[in-house]
Amino acid sequence: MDCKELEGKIDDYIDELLSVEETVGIKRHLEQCEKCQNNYREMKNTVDTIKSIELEKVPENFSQKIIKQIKTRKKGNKMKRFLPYAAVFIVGVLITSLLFKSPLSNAYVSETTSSDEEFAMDSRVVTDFENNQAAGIEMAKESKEDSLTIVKDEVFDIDKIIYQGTLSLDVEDANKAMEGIKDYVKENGGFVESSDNYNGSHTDSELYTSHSYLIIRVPAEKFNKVIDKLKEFGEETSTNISSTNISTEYRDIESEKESLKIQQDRLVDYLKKAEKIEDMLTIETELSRVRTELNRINTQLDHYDRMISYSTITVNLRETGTLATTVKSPFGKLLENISKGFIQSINLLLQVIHFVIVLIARMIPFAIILLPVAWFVRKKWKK
Amino acid sequence: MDVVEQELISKSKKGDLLAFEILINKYSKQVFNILLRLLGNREDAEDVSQEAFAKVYKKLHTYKGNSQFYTWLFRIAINAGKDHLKKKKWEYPLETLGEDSFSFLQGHTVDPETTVINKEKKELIVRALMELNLEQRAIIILRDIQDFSYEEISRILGISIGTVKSRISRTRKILKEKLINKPYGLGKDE
Repeated sequence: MDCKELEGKIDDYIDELLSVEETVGIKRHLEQCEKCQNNYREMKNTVDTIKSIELEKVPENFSQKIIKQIKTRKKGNKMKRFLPYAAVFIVGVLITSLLFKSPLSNAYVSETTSSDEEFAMDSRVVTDFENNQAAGIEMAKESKEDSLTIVKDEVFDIDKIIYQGTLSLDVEDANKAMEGIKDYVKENGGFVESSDNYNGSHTDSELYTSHSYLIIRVPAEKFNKVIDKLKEFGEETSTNISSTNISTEYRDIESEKESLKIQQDRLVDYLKKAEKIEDMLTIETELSRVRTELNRINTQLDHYDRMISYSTITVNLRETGTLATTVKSPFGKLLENISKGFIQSINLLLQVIHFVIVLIARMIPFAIILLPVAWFVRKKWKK
Repeated sequence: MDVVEQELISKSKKGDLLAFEILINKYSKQVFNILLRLLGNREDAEDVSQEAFAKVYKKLHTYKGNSQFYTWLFRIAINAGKDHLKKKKWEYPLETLGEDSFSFLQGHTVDPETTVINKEKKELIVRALMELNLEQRAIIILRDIQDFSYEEISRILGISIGTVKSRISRTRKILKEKLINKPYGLGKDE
């Protein structure tokens, strides 16, 4: 055995992994070769020193700490487990909202109704409205007869025009202005068709505390005069006057009426001449049809006449109150406002709960399909 | 593999943490010491070995029993140690070692019989170990400190027995040179 061979086996020799023969061979060489002997001693010493490094004690509570760690991680995993379900839920919400326009639409509707309540809607339809209207119709009929005769007698071509006006006014006291307008309209032979009054709540702290809404009808010839006069009741913010020319339609209907009348007269003649009962019955049926048609046309003409002879004016009254001239304390209605706010919040909360319940119900069909999918995805994920 | 261990493993797979704790206690000393010498300080060794066991528990379902449990376990532990060092970016943590190695040597209960020279020798060898690269350190730890056979080492590190052998002899030579050239070199005190 030479030095080179020994060097290759020195590790195994130190580790005592060699066969007896090899061990003997190495021992013999080491006795002879001082160089190898030194090398061996140094190596042996090194290895012995390394081997002298003792195993140190494990830190205290080592295993308990690991178990704790595993347990907390498990919890984390549980959270992870819900992740796909959460994703599916969100996807479901998106799908439902896409398919049913918006799931919020229900809530939105109920919300608007509640916000209307905010205005403390006090829509007082004036009690004498019906009387007024009845009277108006009466008047309309009278004037219709007048105007109709004029039209017929004079020029056939006279324009049939319906005038309509919308007027917005800022007033100091809405009720006062409304009464004034009503009186004025009555004086001029008009009538109030409808009137509404909204008392705005003070929580809004807006400039306009309340507003009223009036629809009045005045004789057509006084239309411009009334509009001008109405502007004096408050500060005008906007006026809109429109006219619709219905002459053509009116003439068409009138000529139709004429022809129907002629038809009716003829049918009456036929009926007188008829001998067979069968013929009489046929003529009678036709006659009644013509009469019905004639009635319909008359009603329509009546309606047009009324629209023409009585113009419609819509008046919006906004109460500005006192703007900068007097101090207006908002604390007067403090308690009321608090309770209002409280009720509003409760309403909103109830709506949200309602919305969530509805949403969950909506989700059920999707859940039936998508939950197994989510479960499957999670399983794949794990792997 | 002994039957008890097999039983413990299958129980742990089903989520029995008590069984897994027994397994931990069985191997904790070895795992901790491998990582202690690999990383060079107690704090890191403790953290990483705990991490390694947690990882083992998590991956337990992938362990099919074709290899010895401990080789699989130590492999995971060593890999965890390697990852840790990569993360900390001190493959050669010599700079940070100085004080550290002292402190853990002093903190360690010293055998009253141990002479001053022995102490110094130990300090030197621990230092020298930390000067090695990771692969060399791992193989010396497994062979000379943990006393594993070549075959076991080859399974733990996933390398052939031939590689194990040559790596060991090369590393031992490096260590020898390092120790002899030190002022309290081993070659000179005899």
